[in-house]
Amino acid sequence: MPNNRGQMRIVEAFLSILLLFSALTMTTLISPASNSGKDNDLTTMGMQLLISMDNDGQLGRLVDEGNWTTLADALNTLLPVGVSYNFTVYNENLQPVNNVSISNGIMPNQNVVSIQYPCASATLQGSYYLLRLQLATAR
Amino acid sequence: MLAVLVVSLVLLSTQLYIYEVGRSLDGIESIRVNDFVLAVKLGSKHVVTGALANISVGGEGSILSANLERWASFTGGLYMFGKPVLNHTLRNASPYTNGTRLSWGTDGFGITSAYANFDFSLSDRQVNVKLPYAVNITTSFVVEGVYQTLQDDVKQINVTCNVLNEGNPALAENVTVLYEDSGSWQRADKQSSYSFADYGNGTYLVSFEADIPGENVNVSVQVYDVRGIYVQANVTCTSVT
Repeated sequence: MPNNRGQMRIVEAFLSILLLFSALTMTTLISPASNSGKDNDLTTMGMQLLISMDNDGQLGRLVDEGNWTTLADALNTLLPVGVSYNFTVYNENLQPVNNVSISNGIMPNQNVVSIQYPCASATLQGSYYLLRLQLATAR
Repeated sequence: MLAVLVVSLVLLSTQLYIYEVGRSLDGIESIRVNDFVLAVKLGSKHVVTGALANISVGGEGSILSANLERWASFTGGLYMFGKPVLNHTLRNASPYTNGTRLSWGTDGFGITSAYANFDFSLSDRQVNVKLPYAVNITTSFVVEGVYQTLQDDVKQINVTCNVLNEGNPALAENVTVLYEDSGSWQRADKQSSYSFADYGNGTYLVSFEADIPGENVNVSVQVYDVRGIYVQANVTCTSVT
């Protein structure tokens, strides 16, 4: 009888190891890192877009003029197909400036990243804005 | 035995999850810091440009420092993971005074320039950034003028103007040429013979005929570049046959 009990212990130990290994494998596969990578790409793309528009002062100029149509056209052209956006402009006191929606419609159940970009316009008095660009792709 | 196994599983799974999440957050934060620094740097350049445009049309020289302090204060409150600090020093070494230089000479060379040094620092949980950088915004141009006497005091005058931004050829928003006639300045574009050629590379050629007594033909050229920065220069035209 003592011999049989010992064998059961060994089987139990093997099963435990198998279960533990399976759980670890599953945890790695279900890790949220893959989703974060996608969000990182979207954040980087959004920042690079804003930086390239701001490089020659174009971004600040459009915001200063309140030229929301041209701004939306630029975002529609420069962002890849399948990426939704919502763009909001805040003034130096962090109050919203754009009186019309600058968006192509972010749908519910999408991965959304939010990018905040400080922008200075090269006008005579100097106007400063906080730009918030929300980007989303389908899950 | 089974209970121990379950507890071990939960602990290991949680540890692995925290490790993965922490690792991805480090990546995101590093990207955010780099992009934030770049945005602040670009903004500093635009602030200097705007202030220089203001000063070049007669604005107070103190606006450069005042606007940069406003920019530092604005950006200082925008980064959520730490406190960014932006300090600036305006160049005061000759030929700059309080960060600006307006040199509108009679030798055919005009320059409007601003120079500021910055020290940006940001410390937070993950990163420690210290970035010194300089912003130099300069609009300059060179004017050359020649004239040919056509009849009596009537002269054909050709003025060539080369506009530069930071030493590179740049476009002008507006170019105005004046000539001196008996002590007073007259606009060249009022002459019926006036012609203006834009070569598209920062070079402009203005030609006109004017009745100017004497041998001295002085012209003054006033330029606004596309950034709104004003610069002017005078030159005495040389006679050609």
